[in-house]
Amino acid sequence: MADQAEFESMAMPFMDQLYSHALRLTKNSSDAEDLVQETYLKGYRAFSSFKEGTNLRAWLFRILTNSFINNYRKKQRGFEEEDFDEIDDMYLHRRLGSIQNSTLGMSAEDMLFERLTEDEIKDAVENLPTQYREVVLLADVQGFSYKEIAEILEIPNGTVMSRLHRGRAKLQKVLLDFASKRGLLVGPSQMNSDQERLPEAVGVGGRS
Amino acid sequence: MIDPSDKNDALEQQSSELLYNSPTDAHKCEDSKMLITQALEGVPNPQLIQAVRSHFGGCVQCLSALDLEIRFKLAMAQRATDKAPPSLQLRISESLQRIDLKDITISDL
Repeated sequence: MADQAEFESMAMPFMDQLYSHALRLTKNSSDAEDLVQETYLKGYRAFSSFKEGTNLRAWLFRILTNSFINNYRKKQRGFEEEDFDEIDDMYLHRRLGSIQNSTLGMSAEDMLFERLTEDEIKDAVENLPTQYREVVLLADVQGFSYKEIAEILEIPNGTVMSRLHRGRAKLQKVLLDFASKRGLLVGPSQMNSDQERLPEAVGVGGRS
Repeated sequence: MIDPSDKNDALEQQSSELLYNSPTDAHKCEDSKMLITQALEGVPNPQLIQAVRSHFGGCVQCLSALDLEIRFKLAMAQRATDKAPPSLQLRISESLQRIDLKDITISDL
């Protein structure tokens, strides 16, 4: 068994990142705390097999991911390998570009991300299908390389890229739809015409 | 299991060739998605982003798409995060002291 103090000194600095990731996956703080605790227990138990000099952070995220899959993901309603319509990779850019000239001073993308609240962004992330959410979180929130993500999730690199592109596009579309419906991006006249063209936003709203 | 047909290596090589072997005026918009993806891998590298920006030259659409993706990534990194409650560290430390090995299965590692 590894020395507890040594393990804690090396592994505990990642607790906030692991908790944040767990919270986005489980969607509630109690489950997230349990998942992180479980991750540390399993990590401690297996610490002797951890190769010094390799990526401890990625190793812990892999344990957390496997624990989530085994204990939580299957319980989550609607976990089925959800699919969604193909979204043009440049969808958000094109839509923003079309309204950029109508705004005052700031670019549309500045306003989109500045005006959406933290809770709105978190809600949008949590409403992504799990398989896309995992990849987007690891890439864009945790800053893992694509290769590291492939290893953490045990999926091919090509699958990482595919899920990342689709997940990002979906998330950006949801954020833009939500911002448009709230009138955050455009003036009233354009808002009305824009709303008519928009499909339903997907489950984004204030956190209760 | 990692797929042996590692598409990422090919992507990386293709991106490098595009960035460093092609003059700016050879920019093709259809390559921008791949270059942006590569530039924003992991923790974004300012030098690589600048190289992509230079490669895009005066292409407003691709520059704008790059900026948008950078802002999106920043927003995610800064605003989709939470701090663990202060009590969690103590809870974990205590649980490590009374770890019950029987509860852990090797399949989770």
